[in-house]
Amino acid sequence: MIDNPLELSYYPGCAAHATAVDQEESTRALCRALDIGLTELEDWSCCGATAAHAIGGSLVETLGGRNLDIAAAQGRDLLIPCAACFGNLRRAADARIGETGFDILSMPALLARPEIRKRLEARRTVSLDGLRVAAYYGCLLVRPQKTTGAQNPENPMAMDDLVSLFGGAPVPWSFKTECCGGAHTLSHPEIVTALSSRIASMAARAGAALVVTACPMCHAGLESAQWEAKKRDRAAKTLPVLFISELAALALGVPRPGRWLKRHLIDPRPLLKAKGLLK
Amino acid sequence: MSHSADIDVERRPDRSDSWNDLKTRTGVNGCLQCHKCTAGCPVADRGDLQTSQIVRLTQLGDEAALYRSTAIWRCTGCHTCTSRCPAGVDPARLQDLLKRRSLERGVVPSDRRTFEAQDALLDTVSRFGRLAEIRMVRRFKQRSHTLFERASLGMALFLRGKLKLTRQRMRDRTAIRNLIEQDRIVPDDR
Repeated sequence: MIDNPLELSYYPGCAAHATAVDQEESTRALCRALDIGLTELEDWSCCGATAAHAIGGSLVETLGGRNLDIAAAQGRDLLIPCAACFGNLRRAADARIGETGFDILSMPALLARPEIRKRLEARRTVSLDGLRVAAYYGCLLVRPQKTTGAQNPENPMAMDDLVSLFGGAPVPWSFKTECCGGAHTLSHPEIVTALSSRIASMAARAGAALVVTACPMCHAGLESAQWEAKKRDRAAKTLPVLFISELAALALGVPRPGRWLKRHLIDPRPLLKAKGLLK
Repeated sequence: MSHSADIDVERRPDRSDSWNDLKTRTGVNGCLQCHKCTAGCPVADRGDLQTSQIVRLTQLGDEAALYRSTAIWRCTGCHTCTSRCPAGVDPARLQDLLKRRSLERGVVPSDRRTFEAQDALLDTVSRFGRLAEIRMVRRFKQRSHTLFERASLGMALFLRGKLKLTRQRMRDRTAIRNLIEQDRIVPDDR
């Protein structure tokens, strides 16, 4: 069963212990199921998020540089499941002279690696059975292209391909790289609500029953906007939003996915049960 | 937020590159005024200047008008403008550099809420090395006088284990504090 266990360094990011705890738990469970060993970066620190690049002068480079040094000492490729941390650390790496000596990977990029894709193909046990899924990429996984290395920043397909691999139907839609406004979560929540509601409603209009993302801010934006709409109007339709790591973990049939699925503001369990994806 | 008309752009000029360097670094001289940046901007209707106007004012060197604008603070950092620009201009970077320069020159941020939210993050990371969300939210609410805003959302997150009262800390907090305080700028009026 174990073909070439892969060992990676792991940068959870601050959201892993807070609003994206579901991403963190599913990432660890998924990697276990794929024989990918994760070694957390020793004494990692915050990447500085939006504040670092917006007002922080050289903080993206200095805060990122410290984490990159630790990763270099650990000597393995580095998995960063948070899109915002991924963007900041990639930028810090770009600012360095010379190569870092290791790859910085987002979750979709890791799962798209040929050897990992083969493992997913071999180990999937649960089919999404035609479930219509909108793959939502947001900004930081794809832009700016020279930082992210995204193949097609206007129409990325990495997560769409994973949905297909798991037996789901990725819906074609126009808002997959629109901004959720996440940078304004504290400062201007009305902007997040407006931008995120539009994205959720466009996913629904495209026929999706579920949205899948790889960014804690996109996830929080889409869930909280719908949660607030539902509070105002109990009849409002909502779309569950899962992290790609949660969807992949479900497809591999990892034990007890309820651990993290119960944490969502928009409860995905009724839909997943109705589709036979969850007991 | 009120703005003084006499923004002293010469203040603390030693702390960042010259205006010409700023123009070169962000490629604004290549702008064709095609307005593709403005067309793709998710917050084009939320600030007092359009992205293409910010680029033009930068070419003209009208620092005071730029520092006075709320638009540079509304930017979400989505990089849509930068990635679609046919002339290689980097308006996303430009708006970050403008925010930074305005702080360096002692300008009171024209969108105080956005500044306070970002500074609240630096404040908590400076203390703990990682983001303590509860603390960041509290710091922001104290500074922006919005103590009960979105309290029910906070409660819903708390009940789902997504907002922890305990904070995670890392060990070498002094290193992080030094890095942050070296670069952090707090407005004079605080």
